[in-house]
Amino acid sequence: MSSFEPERYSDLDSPLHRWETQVKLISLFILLISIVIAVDISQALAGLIVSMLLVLISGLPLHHVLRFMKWPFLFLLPLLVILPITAGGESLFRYHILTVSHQGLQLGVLFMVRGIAAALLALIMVGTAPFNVNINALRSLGMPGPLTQIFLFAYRYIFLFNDDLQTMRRSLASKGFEMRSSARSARILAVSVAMLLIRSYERSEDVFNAMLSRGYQGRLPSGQKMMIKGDDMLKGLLVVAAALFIQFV
Amino acid sequence: MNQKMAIVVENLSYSYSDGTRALNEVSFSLAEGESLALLGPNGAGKSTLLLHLNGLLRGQGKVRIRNREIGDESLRWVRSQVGMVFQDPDDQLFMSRLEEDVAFGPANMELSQKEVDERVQWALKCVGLSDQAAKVPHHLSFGQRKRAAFATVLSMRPPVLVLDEPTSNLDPRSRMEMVSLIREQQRNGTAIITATHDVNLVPLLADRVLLLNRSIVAEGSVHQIMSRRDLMDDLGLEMPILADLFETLQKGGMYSGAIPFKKDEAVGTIREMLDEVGRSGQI
Repeated sequence: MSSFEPERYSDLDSPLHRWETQVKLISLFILLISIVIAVDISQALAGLIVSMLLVLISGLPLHHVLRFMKWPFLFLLPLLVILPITAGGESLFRYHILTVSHQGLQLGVLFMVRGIAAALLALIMVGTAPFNVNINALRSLGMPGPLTQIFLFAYRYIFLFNDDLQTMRRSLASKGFEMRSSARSARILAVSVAMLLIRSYERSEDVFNAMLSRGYQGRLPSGQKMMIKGDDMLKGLLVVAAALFIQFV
Repeated sequence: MNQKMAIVVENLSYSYSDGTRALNEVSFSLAEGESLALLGPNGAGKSTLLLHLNGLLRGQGKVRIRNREIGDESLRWVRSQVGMVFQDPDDQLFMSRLEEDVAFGPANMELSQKEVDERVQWALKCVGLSDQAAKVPHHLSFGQRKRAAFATVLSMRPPVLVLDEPTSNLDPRSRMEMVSLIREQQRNGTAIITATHDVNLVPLLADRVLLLNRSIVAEGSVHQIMSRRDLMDDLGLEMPILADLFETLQKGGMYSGAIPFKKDEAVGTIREMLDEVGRSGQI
């Protein structure tokens, strides 16, 4: 099984898992907007606390959250390092030619906190419902049909692509190939990846034939209609209220 | 004989875009409820022929499905009548959940949600995957994915099934399960055409055999075709192991009866031979 499994825990039983998907996506999106437009650290911290609380309520295992958050953290860390020394403003301390400014540090922290909070919300959106349920909900909310199909099929076949990639790596290794910083290694990798892409293209033709054989006319059958209940709306109102609260901190 | 015809192919020829002639004046028919095995070497045009049976490829000649010729206006109807199972199950499991894949065909037939749900449950039950309905395809084993691909077509309840190497890469138990599935569909009145390299399964799968090498080489019952070593050798095919054994015994003058193709037939024949040896004291 692949280690890339964002919906591994989508079958847990928590208030967030039971939350009707359309309402959940809209509410969390409003909260996300509120967090990313936060103008100071106290607002961003409030957003981070709300996001962490939601993650706690979702019951997603800590190791899963940490594994997911590793990449956003690594992506945002350079901002925390670079902004304090490039942003300019009142000097906090100096080291040789480098000057760390108060405003730069605040900006770096603000970006970091906002980014982490937003990534946690993204994890909740993706991790508390099966992928196809999320995409069908987005389709119900107006996402164009072709885009829906692109997302659904890309998600389905990325695992197969990953399997083919692993097979290719094993095949290369079993023939003595070692990755080096050389033109030869680069050429071999480039050719191997190109073959994977060509095979993917050929597979896409076979998949299309299979779809046509089962009556495909350009649109996916519409999924089961979603049932919005009173407590779904209540959860939505609470999250929207949290989003407004963040703005007034 | 007034049998209703499920498939009628007349003078079908097809060339690929690079000019390679893939099929040459192929004609055959398949009656409703009949099972036909399509045999031939690699590159004989088996898959190409199968792709014509639901209009995915359109060559010269005529293809009629249940008395209706395949054309632009009949394409949608044809695809509701002909269920095609491809060799690679991952080409047919393209939705995120198994139940969505199995529902895909019936949903495109504009059936009610209730009818779609009933067909999904029935198809999954037929292939023994009812408890895997919510699974993502890449979490299923290869054998399960092969059966799942079968279910995605069964749910459309087509009167004609076209199977391309349904037992390839399956372990022995899964192969026999697939054979049982196929035969059960035939007992339910489905006409079935199966392209396969698995000569030992042909006697279990089919009533008739079509030997293809771009054009029809021979056609007849399993016994008529697969006991002919000359025909099989010419196409680079092996005889079924039991038939191979008894044909060799026939050639050596040690056996003069009909060639058995199934295990129970062979056991019966060997018993008779041993009894004969016991009576006469001679081989």
